[in-house]
Amino acid sequence: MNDLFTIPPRSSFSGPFQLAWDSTSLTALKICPRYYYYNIVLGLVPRAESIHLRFGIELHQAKEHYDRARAEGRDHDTAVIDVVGSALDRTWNYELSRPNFLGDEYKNRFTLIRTIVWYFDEYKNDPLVTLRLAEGRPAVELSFAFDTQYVARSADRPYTLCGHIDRVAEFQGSSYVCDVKTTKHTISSQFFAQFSPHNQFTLYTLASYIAFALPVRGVIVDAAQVAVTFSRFERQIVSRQRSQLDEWYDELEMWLRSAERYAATARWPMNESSCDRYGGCPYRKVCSHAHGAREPWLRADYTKRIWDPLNVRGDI
Amino acid sequence: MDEPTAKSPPIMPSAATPSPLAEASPTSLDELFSRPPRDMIREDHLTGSRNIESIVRELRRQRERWALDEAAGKVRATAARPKKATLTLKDLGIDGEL
Repeated sequence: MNDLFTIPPRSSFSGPFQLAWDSTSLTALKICPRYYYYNIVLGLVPRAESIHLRFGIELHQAKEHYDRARAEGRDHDTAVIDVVGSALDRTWNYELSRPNFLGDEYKNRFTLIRTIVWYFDEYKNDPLVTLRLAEGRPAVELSFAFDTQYVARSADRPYTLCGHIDRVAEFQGSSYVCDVKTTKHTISSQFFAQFSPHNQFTLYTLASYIAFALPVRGVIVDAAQVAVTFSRFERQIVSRQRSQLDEWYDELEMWLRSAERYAATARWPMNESSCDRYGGCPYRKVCSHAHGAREPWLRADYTKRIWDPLNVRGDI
Repeated sequence: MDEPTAKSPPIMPSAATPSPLAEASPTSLDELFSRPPRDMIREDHLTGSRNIESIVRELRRQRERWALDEAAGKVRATAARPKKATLTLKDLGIDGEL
């Protein structure tokens, strides 16, 4: 059996059929079925770590750590020092005695720590107040998984939607999911425009309603511009109407049926229109070769990373 | 060089004495970033040194300086230039209409 093309067993899959979907896998499917197949179904990722993904995951972890510390009553300075210590620790390779996150000119270990400190100081007196769930705990680090009304024919059970929300907070009498996004570029109205429509944010808004009974009005996005010598922040509300959530949920069935069909026929077509988007597809080099010549490229430049939406946090 | 006497102060930093890192410079920030974090955190807990706090303090100083420079209009745009949303024929080296 060729291990490269072996579909790893996971709780969220039944063979090639994905039953539990998070925003990462659903976005992958919507970008390109072939990208989804390589990245999610087979779990083949480029050997070189994605700097953007690592930076985003580290910043999200720092934010969760800080929000939890503050919700538990720790003061700002103590929380920041704790968060910085943890972030430095996570980004250090103790065996090699050097950083394990080198990054590039913009996103690297130093700019990560700088962005963490500057970000929490920027919002030290945050007008956003973390909500409390019905059982009393603060609405931070919320993992959700709920069944949809759509039945997976391959397994005769409902499809599940799942994911992780950083925080839900109240602002001027309304509730919002809070998220942070980073960019190397100057933050403009165009930056925020990319979030409407936006698969992840619509799912998170919907999940807040269904999984946590929180009537949120959308997402408050903290945009962090990470430059060589500074980090700058802007905040904006990205609203979602109820009708937009309904439309997204209605169309979800069509996407799930498409994925079902691709898996049943073992054919995941390329969407060539996406090859250039999102900074360039990491599988472009593979897809640019003839069908029979792709395996050596996959074997040389990619490694296995089992993606299980029910267990892994990776949506930034 | 004077020999230490019985009355010499202890060399080990403590919470009661200001840390030698209290006035961290950018150079010492580099040094702190190159140290194993667990060693620094352990040292902070055991000896009262303030390694992590010094990093935070220096980064805050950098932010204050940046804010002043920006207010004075001194900060040049060192951010990456946004990419064009779409390619034009000119970008592809093709001029004229298809």
